[in-house]
Amino acid sequence: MSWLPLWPVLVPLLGAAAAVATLERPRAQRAVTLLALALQTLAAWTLLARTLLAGPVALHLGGWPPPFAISLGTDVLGAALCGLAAPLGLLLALPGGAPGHPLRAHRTFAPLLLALLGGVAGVFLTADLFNLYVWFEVTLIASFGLLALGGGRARLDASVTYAMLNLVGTALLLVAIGLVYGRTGSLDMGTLAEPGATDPALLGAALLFFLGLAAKAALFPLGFWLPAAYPNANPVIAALFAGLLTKSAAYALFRTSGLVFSAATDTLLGGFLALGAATALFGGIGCLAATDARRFAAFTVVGGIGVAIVGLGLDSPLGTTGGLAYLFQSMVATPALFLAAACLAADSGDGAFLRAGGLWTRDRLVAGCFGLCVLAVAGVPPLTGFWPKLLLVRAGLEAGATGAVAAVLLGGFLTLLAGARAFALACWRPAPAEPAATDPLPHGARSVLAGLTAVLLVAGLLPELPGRLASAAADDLRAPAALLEVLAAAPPEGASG
Amino acid sequence: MNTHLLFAGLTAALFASSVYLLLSPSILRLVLGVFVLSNATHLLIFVAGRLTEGAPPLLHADRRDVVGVMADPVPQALILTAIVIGFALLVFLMVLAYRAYARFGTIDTDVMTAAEPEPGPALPGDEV
Repeated sequence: MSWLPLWPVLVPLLGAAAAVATLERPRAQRAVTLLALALQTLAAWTLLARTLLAGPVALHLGGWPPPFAISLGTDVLGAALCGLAAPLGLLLALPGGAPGHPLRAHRTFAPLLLALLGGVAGVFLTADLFNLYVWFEVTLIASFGLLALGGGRARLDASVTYAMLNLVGTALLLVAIGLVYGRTGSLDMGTLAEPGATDPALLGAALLFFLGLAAKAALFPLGFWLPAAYPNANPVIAALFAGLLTKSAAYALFRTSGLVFSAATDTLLGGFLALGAATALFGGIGCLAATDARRFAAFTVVGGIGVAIVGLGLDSPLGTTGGLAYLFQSMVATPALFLAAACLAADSGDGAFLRAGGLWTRDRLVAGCFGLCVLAVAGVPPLTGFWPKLLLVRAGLEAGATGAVAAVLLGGFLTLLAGARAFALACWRPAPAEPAATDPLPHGARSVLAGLTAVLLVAGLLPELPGRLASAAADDLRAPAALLEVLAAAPPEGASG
Repeated sequence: MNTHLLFAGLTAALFASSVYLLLSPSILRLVLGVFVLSNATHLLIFVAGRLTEGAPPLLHADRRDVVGVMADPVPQALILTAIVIGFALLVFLMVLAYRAYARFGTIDTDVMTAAEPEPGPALPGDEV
């Protein structure tokens, strides 16, 4: 029994309430928002340190004994993702005072941002299947508001697509949860994972659950909403979505396939492998077809999810480590690429590669960061994307999954090709004769972009540290005995919630 | 058992209608489809939790143990939560649909292509 898993969820939700209370006082609202985000980061990192040093933690809310309590509980995997999500939110909100930043321009941004971060942390830390659905809905409601923020035709159209697809996805989750409860009488992940509780009749529920998650994670045939939605959001919000939303669905796929639907997962592993490979390839092809920087960034999100899910489908220690490490790096690289794309779009008018040019001579920082981010998402050696792909290729060859390995490598190659062409057009070649009208860009976007790229560069040059984190997370995911033990431990008598 | 069958059939019919509505390009039908879909889901959870007639999940004031058959309160709690969330989302969807209608002058999603406009001229190297 530990209170640690509660704070990363509770702090941003309290912060959201405080941000609503300070709607009329922008300075106070900014201060409250940054404070809540900083505290969430602190709480998430404390939780991560605790899970790394002393194993998984669980909190049975209300002090009820295990099958009845609604539990929060996590191991290194959930804590690591939470520990990446919280500082990403903080970093994106830090330049909130700059003109043009949504934190300054829209007073409803702060509560929605904090609700989104609270919802995502809830997804990462909950140990209850129904609460997983509830946290997805919290995230979804906040993201609806954020996507439509600022209005305009394109955002309205994007919101309709995004809202419909994601609502159907969560409805599928809920149907699956109802069937699981009807069959097992429990929604507690610890109870559902007990050996012997693997029921072949749950295969149908598992299929529906994975289908809903696949739609939310933008896996291949269900991911067409993402390139329609993300490029139209405010750049800061698009970066936030790229780092958090599809990643939380991918996390839920990893977690439930290992813990709740382990019997069904054995039957479905080939499907995960095929879908992941198809998504990785589709992402690469999409990158090649994209004619503007923001759509290019959106397709790198799709491709990144595909690579991570290939790791899930390989189902070996090496494969899972590679998939999770790629998920981690994708949480930093794709937001950075969205910011770079926004800087590029602000420079060239609308981000279309044909009208851009000469960025290298005008803004070497943005051009350099754009180039480095392209290398990161394509998986080229000095950056973070390379090492996880190396692990995945090795695991894939060991498992004899040459098709999936080929798809991952080809997807990465197409991304590199498209990224190199984008760099050549937008940065290398001389500026067009008539420079397009430039939009004002929030000053902070450049420094956040530089910060994220620095993280990618350092983590790519020192791959030992993220590699060890991913390997610890994969170990916990594949051998959940320690997590199940803390989830099943009855809270001490008289403990009150 | 027959009641279960009846409710299972009703749930299936609701799911089928919602899929039919969701396949339409009209935003209004999409909203209604999501609405029917969420109600079908609620009914499914309710039926999956078993139908028990005339056995409210109430404990006797001076006896804390369970006597005889009792309805499972958990599916009801789940549905209550899902109804609240679903209602809020439905209201959001209706506002979104209205705003889209006001902005585009149509409720046909096939015509609304502002989010993904036709791509511009081909990039160098694309012409074959």
